Amino acid sequence: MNFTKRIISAVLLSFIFAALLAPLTGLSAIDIVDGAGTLGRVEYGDDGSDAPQTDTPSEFYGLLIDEVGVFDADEEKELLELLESVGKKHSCTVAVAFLNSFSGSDIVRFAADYYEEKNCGIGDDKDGVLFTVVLGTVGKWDIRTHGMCDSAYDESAIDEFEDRVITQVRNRDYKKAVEEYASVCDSVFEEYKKFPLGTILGISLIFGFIIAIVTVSAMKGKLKTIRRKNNAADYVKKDSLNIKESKDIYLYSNVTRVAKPKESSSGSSGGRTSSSSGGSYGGRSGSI
Amino acid sequence: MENLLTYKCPCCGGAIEFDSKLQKMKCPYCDTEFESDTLKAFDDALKQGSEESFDKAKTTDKTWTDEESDGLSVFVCKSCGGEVVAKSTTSATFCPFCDNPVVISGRLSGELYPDKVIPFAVDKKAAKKALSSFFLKKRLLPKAFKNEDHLDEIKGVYLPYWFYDGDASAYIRYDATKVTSWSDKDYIYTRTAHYMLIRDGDLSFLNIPSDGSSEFDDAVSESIEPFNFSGASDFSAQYLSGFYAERYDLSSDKCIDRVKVRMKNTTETAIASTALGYTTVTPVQTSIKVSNSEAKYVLCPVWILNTSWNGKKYPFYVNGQTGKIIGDLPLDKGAYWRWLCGLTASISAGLALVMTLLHFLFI
Repeated sequence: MNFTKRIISAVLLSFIFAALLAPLTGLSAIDIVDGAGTLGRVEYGDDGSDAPQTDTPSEFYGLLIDEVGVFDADEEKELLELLESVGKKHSCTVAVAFLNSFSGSDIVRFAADYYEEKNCGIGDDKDGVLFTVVLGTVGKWDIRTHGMCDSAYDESAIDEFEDRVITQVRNRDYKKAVEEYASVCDSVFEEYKKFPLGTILGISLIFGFIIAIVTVSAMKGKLKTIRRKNNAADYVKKDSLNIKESKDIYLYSNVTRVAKPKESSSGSSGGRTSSSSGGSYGGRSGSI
Repeated sequence: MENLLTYKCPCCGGAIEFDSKLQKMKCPYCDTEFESDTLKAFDDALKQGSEESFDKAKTTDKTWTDEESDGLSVFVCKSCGGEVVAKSTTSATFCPFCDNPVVISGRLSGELYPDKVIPFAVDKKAAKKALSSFFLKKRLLPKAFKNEDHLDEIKGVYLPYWFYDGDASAYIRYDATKVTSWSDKDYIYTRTAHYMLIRDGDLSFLNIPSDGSSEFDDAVSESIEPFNFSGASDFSAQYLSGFYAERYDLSSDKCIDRVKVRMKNTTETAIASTALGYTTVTPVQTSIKVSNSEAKYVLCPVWILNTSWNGKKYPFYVNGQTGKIIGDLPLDKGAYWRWLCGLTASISAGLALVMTLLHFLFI
């Protein structure tokens, strides 16, 4: 066997050995590395209770893909740690990918498939968010959400994301863009999980009052039984209704149409999509 | 000529009354029952009109004012000789001295002779029971009103009604639309098809009642309906014995307008129900002609229960044929606010609990 193959085999065997023994040794985390850069980190707790319990690292909290090479190694490490911290805090995958191109003509569909291809998502619902930036002549961006993140990222949250993150992308400050991305995700998920005491109290009081006033009004109405009778329905002779002439004459029709909102050249288009495997994703895409 | 008639029991001489349970005359003193044929002679005399004179009350030192005496007549009770004062519309009453029922024959003869009478099928006991049942399940009724016995007076009254048959002929034109929508990749389309609908039809009515007394509130007389005309009998004065009765003072011509309005409303609703399958139907031209046959003068039975509470009068009315009871009840304002606040608090708490559970389950 030649020398290169021996080195590669040794590295792979080391990795497998470490992955199998890590829970026993109390190792907190390992990095998964491939040729393109840092894929992500899987963390194992002491008793494995706060981490995905899998033999292979199939779920991860943070993902940074830099095919374009906009970040150096230190920046990658720093940004990955930032994404992982947000992901671990909210039990989801926070992923970002800077690409040169994408397959197909629709970035929305591509991003949904890419999410699944990279095995993003934590838990049964595969909670996670993927921010994709395709630089170069293509110049497009997309944010795809799944599971809890899909519910948390409503229209106003996506507006905030577009305002804070895409602005940095357009300014070509990609590091700042990723930092803003992590910050927006943190605040959006924080807000989503916050117990909405005021909202719950307000809604329950309003509906409670409406139901109560309708019920009590009906009870009050039972006290008044003297009312004029404006019809003589009780005295209609049985089967006496005789329609002598009945004509339904068609006059004319008119058709109106309302255009559905479309993606403009510099604008963004929202909307849901499905991946090739049928998964449902929310999000928005646009041009840089 | 007006006579006071008192149906006297041939057995004991007591005043006999119409028994609503037995549907015949019965002496409350010796329990003897009489068939209607037995008393037919009295009715025949009524129809023909009596030639006998009547005894008018002697004048006294006191005199009535014009307003007080307007519409009042004074008769002498043949049982005890007491004076019976009656309004011009009263046709049956009780002597205030000996409490014998009396029928004023002159108020029921000739033109005023009723075509039919619907006899009392609900007796006084059942009317009182209906009142007690009426208070049940009325959560906003003051408890004191429910619990205290404040029934001042209960009297059975035959009220004068006109019963009309009629036919309505309607020609109605409608504007109608059918709306459909669909969409493609780029647009949402809405198609509105406009139609003109023409309906020409007839509807017949039988025995629509309208009260012929100006004193009786029309809202009450309509609320106490329906009266089932199939339960009516040919009039006989014996039915009135033991009850009060009023004769009409509004002729059938004066009462027909209200009946025509009710017929028109019902006809519009019935014709509109034939315009089916449209998104909107709007009448643009309505022409309804109502024709009616001669009205029938019918005396209808009503129990009037007068109650009072906290200085206010609360009358209740029981349909003497069906037992239906109507009347306006007082509102317990304290109970109203307690129920409103209590329901608001409990429903809000329930909703808040459900929303909290959903929040922790799914988020």
